[in-house]
Amino acid sequence: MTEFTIPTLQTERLTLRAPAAADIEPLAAFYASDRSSFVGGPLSRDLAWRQLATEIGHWPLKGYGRWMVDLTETGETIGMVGLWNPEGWPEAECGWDLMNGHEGRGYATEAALAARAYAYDVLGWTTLISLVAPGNEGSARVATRLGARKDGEFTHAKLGHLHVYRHPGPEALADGGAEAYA
Amino acid sequence: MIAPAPAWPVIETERLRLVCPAAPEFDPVAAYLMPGARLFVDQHPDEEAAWWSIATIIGHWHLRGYGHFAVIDRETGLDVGLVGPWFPRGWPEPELSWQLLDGAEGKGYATEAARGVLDWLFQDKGWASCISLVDPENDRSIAMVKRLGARSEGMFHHRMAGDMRIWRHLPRTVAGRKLLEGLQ
Repeated sequence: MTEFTIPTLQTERLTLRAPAAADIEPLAAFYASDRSSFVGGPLSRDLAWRQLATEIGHWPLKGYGRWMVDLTETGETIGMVGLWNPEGWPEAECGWDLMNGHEGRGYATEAALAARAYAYDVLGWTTLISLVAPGNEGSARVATRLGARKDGEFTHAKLGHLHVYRHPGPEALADGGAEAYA
Repeated sequence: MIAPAPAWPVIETERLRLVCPAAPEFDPVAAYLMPGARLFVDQHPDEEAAWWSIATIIGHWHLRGYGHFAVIDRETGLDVGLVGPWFPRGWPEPELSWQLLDGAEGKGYATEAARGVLDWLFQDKGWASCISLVDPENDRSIAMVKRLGARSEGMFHHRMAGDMRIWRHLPRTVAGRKLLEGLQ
């Protein structure tokens, strides 16, 4: 069903919120950069707009999706993080894309912890993967920091060969919580 | 919730009901994606591309406040196709476009639906005009835009779609004429 609301999630430093029209600016900048090469980019501004539309459409089609991530203090948009499972995906994944210049501060990990908690505690999921492109060391480090472990391979028609990282399930996180892995 | 929430219009014509695929009462998964559902209108034959197209169409409604309507035969309840104003980035301006499912052509459905959409755009949304982009070789679509009263303008070169002729739709109704007079 398409009746849907995109909840806003708060973490210590970050606000995860619904994508909106103004997000074409940070998204176009991200998809113009080499940083997007691991997630299907670079893309033109026109295709970045379509990606933004698709991100929004994912929510009503699946009942979940990805959030835009703002620094709560300044309002600056620093990433797109959340639960992504379009047609052609092996299963639902937790993905994180950081905008240029925001690496190395733990933002991806902090936002992904919130998205994972939403998957387990709100949606009631029992498992979750993340797909990491070979050579994307930064993303692999985030996955490892989140306690995810390599669990096979997946080849996507457009994105090519990807490593599957599987997150610890909700039971494993119940003792000590997600923070135990952070 | 994405704010401001667009209104989800329903347009009724003599034979057709046009509903917004992003409206809560429309279930695009049941309509297009369940096993046995009718094939989604799209140039791409595979299910994966159809899913991405539907997601994009829904997102377009949220980003623009308008977009492609799902056109349904009021009598049978069957999907006929998609008609509506389409304005992704890279387009010169909002384009009234239409795609019919196989078997729905030749019955005047596209023209009837397009008229309903134009009335909605000009009367309810207050638009002063919109365009259609038509392949100069597409005689069928050219006949249709002429039936709709559109006027031929120059050419537009689209990176992906190639050279298209711009046809401009202008308000033809009493309400539309009043609107135009008010703008001058």
